[in-house]
Amino acid sequence: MRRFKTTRNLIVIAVVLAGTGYWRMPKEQKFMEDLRERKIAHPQIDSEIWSKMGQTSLAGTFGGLRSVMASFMSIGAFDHFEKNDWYKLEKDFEVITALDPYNSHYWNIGAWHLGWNAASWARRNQSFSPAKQRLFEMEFLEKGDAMYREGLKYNPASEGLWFDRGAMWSNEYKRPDLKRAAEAFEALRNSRNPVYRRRYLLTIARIPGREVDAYDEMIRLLRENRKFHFKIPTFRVLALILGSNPELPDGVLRPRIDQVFPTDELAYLDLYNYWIRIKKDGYYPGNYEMIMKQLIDKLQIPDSLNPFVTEPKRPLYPSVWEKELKKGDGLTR
Amino acid sequence: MSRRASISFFSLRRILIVAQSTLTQLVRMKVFYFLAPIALLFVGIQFLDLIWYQGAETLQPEQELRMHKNICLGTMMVFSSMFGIVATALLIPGDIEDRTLYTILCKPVPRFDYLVGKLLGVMAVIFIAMVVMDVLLVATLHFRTEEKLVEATQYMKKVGYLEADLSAGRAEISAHGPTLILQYGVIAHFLKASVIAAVALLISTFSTSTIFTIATSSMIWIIGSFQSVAREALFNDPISGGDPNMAEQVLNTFVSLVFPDFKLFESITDGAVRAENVLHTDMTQLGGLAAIYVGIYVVLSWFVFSDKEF
Repeated sequence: MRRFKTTRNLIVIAVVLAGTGYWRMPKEQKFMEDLRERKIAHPQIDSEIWSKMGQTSLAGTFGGLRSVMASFMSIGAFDHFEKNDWYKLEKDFEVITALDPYNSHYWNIGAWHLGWNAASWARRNQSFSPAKQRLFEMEFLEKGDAMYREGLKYNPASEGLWFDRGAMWSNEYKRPDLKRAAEAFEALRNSRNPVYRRRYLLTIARIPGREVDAYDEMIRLLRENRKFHFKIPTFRVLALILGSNPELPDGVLRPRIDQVFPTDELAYLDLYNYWIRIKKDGYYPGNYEMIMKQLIDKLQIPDSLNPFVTEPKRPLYPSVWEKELKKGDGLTR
Repeated sequence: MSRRASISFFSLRRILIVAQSTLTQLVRMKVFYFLAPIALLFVGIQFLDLIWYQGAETLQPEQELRMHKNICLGTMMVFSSMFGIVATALLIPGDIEDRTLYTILCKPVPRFDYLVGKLLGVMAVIFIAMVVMDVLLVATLHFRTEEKLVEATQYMKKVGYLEADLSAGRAEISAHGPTLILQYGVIAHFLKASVIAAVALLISTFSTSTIFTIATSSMIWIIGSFQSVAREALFNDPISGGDPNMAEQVLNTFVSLVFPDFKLFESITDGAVRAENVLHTDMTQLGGLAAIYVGIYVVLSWFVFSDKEF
């Protein structure tokens, strides 16, 4: 009798659960789809990612701790960075970003490890032949870029991801690809952060053939916040140099040296440092030579501070400039 | 008319008396001592720098606040769910062991009232514990948010944010502080723990041992977290791995029909942690769903328990 009761109870439980389950299933599905569409619920984890998860992450994920597991795994993945174990690190970040894809931080950190740290490690690894160094460096740069792009699919509004992707492709110590960098920085033209907003201009000013675009961008920035952008030396010089472009149509605004710089000395200091920008970073030279020569004559610059005579090796800091001014008896003040 | 026949099937007063005695019973088990290490953890992570690299352009106040919330809410979820299972699993066997059950059931207390009272008692303990943890979370998060706001404001002023942009930037950081949306996440955890407690109640009505109840309820907790994977395989095309075979379809149907979907609760909490726009209507839907689950499990528990012989 007791066994009969137990069997009866189990059957009733199963039937009621199945019946109510049939009724609630479409409602749950609709609710979940709505949450997913609004990016409140995470997307499903791909079966390939399940197989890459360790036991702890699996248990945590099944226990409803996806985001918490991602936090702890990201801290744990730091070990692979310290040991230069890049492939394990990549695998970890595949899992971490699958666990919490709407957290741009994980995409950013993963891409930073691959595109910056791993690529630099490959470039400097003395045990590799130069060909192998380059091969690995490019592989990691592309992996980093892929991670930035994938992260941007989930987090298109993440300024950090756009910025770091652009910074990676415009970094002089890597393999600059200014077109890709400009593509990333373009998304930040209307960022609230002025540092981010300027980077598009600073990048296209280095791409041959885009000088007129750079001029337009410079004017746009000048109109929105002249005071702040003019605090940046390279921006000041660009305002002058891009405005001196002979290809610009007649009648456009061409900032004069006295409109950009409060003194000729400051103009010379900034322009002197721009020499390195032209030579090392490929910035647009425009009418640089003519403007500089006029200033050299006007200020009677000594040969030691004349870039056409003494090749600048490092930027000229205001303190060094002051010292040179004291030494330079021929310099007008 | 016999005395038994005059007893109403449902009495809120009786239920509340049973719930109150359950609450007292659990408090005497010193369950709230659990809160001491949790308080230490919540305060401790206040001083833990989770971002290991620094610099103006890597300043990510929202990320630090998210990590803070993630760890605190994760702890709350584990505690409340585990407590829901263990406390409920211990109650009926405990009452049988110390013979309280016989004393209660020989009085004019319908078994339905007894079960609902027991469940409400457990839910009350979870609720009190969650309120305490929530106060700790809000307090620690408030201080951390203020600290991050000061740092971020300094940075924004330094790099030349316009006044309007500065206010918007501050508002974005504040959205990751203690807000109403964060409370939605806490409520979602409470609702989930209540459903888990109701599941444990159902199992404890026919189970013969506490260990079986705890183990089975824990399994249902785990299965419930990926029930949505099985259900979505029935509704949508598989994202990878080809079409499911017959056995997989049967399994998916079984899991989807029988088990509760805890992913919905977790999704609301995840959304709350990310300061996404969790709506009041989402909470109403979630609350309704939790009520349906609890209702079904309580009715089934009563069905099994109603003619159980002791």
